[in-house]
Amino acid sequence: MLVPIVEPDPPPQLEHRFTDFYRTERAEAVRLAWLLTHDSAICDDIVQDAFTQVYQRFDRLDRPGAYLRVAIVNRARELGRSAGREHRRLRLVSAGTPLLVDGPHANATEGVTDDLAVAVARLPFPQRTAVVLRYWADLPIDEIAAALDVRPGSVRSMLSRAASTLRKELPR
Amino acid sequence: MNTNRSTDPARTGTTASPTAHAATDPTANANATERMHREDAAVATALRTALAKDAASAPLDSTPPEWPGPVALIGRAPTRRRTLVVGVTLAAAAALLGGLVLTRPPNGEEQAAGAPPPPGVPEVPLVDLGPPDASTGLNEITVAGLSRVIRLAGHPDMVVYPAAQYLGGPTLASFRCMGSDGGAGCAPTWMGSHPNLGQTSTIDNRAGEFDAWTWENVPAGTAYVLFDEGGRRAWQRPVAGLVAFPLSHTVTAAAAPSSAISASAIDEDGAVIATADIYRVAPDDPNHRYPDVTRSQGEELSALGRATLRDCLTAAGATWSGSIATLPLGTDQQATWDGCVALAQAGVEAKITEWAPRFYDRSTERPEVADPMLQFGSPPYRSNPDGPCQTSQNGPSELPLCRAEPAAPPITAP
Repeated sequence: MLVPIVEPDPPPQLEHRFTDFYRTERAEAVRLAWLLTHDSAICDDIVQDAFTQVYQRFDRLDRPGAYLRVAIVNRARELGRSAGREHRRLRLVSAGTPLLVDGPHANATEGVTDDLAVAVARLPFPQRTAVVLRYWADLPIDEIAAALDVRPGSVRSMLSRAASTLRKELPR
Repeated sequence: MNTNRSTDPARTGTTASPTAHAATDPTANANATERMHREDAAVATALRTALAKDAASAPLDSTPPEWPGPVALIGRAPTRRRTLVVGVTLAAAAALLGGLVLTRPPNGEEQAAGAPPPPGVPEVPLVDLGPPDASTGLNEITVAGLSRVIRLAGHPDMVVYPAAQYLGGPTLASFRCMGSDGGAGCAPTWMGSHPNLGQTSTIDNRAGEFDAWTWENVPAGTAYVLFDEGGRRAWQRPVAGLVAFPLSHTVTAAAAPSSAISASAIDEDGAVIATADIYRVAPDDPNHRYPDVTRSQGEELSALGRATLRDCLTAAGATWSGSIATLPLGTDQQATWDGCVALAQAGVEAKITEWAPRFYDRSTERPEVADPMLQFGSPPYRSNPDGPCQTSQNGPSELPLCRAEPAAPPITAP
């Protein structure tokens, strides 16, 4: 259905605040999307979609930064699933070598050189997200749980499983 | 196959894992814990370094350095990845299916974009802001794919969504709700086939400082709705089967003459396919026999219904943003929701059967238990604080319409 896109003019002060918010958060948002996907094309989509979501609710958000992170995680998960489906369809059509292991962006290691970072990129999406939010964004467990919409105990469990996988990549 | 393998290291002579050994040796326990902490700290340090290095290689130039504005973003060109995805999707669909499968859109979304607007009548556009999420402030369990946030210029955003709640009846009731500005008004789905213009002030807890005429369940095939409030006309394309027109002046449903306010659904050929006015409202609730349960029993039934809905949607693959479930793409959203509501209804009904309460006709009898779930006469209508009123709107009456009580608890503002 076509609905006219008519955005009412927000109050100038709000618009300025959002412009500042965008300037402040853009780089970290791109980095988070990159760490979750390692795909520069969908990285751009994820970040812009997430900022648009924040924009639509900016005057009602107490912590727009936290909301932005959740939006990025959710969009990365959605686009990853779509990408996964496309890879599976390609595989069905070509009947060639399997292109993807299970999970969003699970084969996304484009441009990653560090062995440990590659291992993180190969973790299942929830574990990868928990690791990135914990060890890169330095978020407390409760905030990671909120971003993933799981219980804090589940986050600890994800981090523990991820740590035991990643330990194998550490030099002895 | 040997099924008698012992796991006792002393008997098998195998090397025990640190954890297993530690269970019987306090010194080993302390050593194992210390080693694990040391390893975790090493992993954490290595991860911080690796991720910082990885993040430094992020393609920062892929997004504009300044906020381009939402219109620019909505209109941006698809990325190569999107083009590839769309191309591959089409190719794969054509190769594998040899055809195209179309799903029926929600009510009112089938109108042609080119349907001619009525000449000389202004458009009052309704803006579709997409599905709700946790920030929308909904507390009720619902499905994102069946819900929309919509905006009428000058009003707080409204969210239209399906809900299922226990409100004192023989089982969980299924609703189509509209929430806004801290309130929510819900119409039982059995009212869906009865065109009705409602005022947001009377269905959303009167929480807002605004008011609008709304018509939910606009029929499929509607190109636009033509609204007429005492000669003031406007038109609007429906979003998610709903239209909303601002009031031009303070007029209540009770005070307005029946002929003064109406809305017509027009198809793309310009034909009227349905009309709604303020007196063509629902028939009486068919579920008029209510169980005489206490307030705490009602709360238990409500929690049971909510938990069953959540578990059922999760089992269908839903991911959650607050109370809003996003079902996997390709899922029949309506069928999944309906199935989960039916399951929750069965559970609530079974629990009521187990309690075997007295059932009473709420139009003529009163509850007898102490601290009843429902007071006499509710829901959906309580006595009118302004005096006598009519609760059945089968035609104009000398009595004013009773004000509707909210059929759903208020949503909290984000």
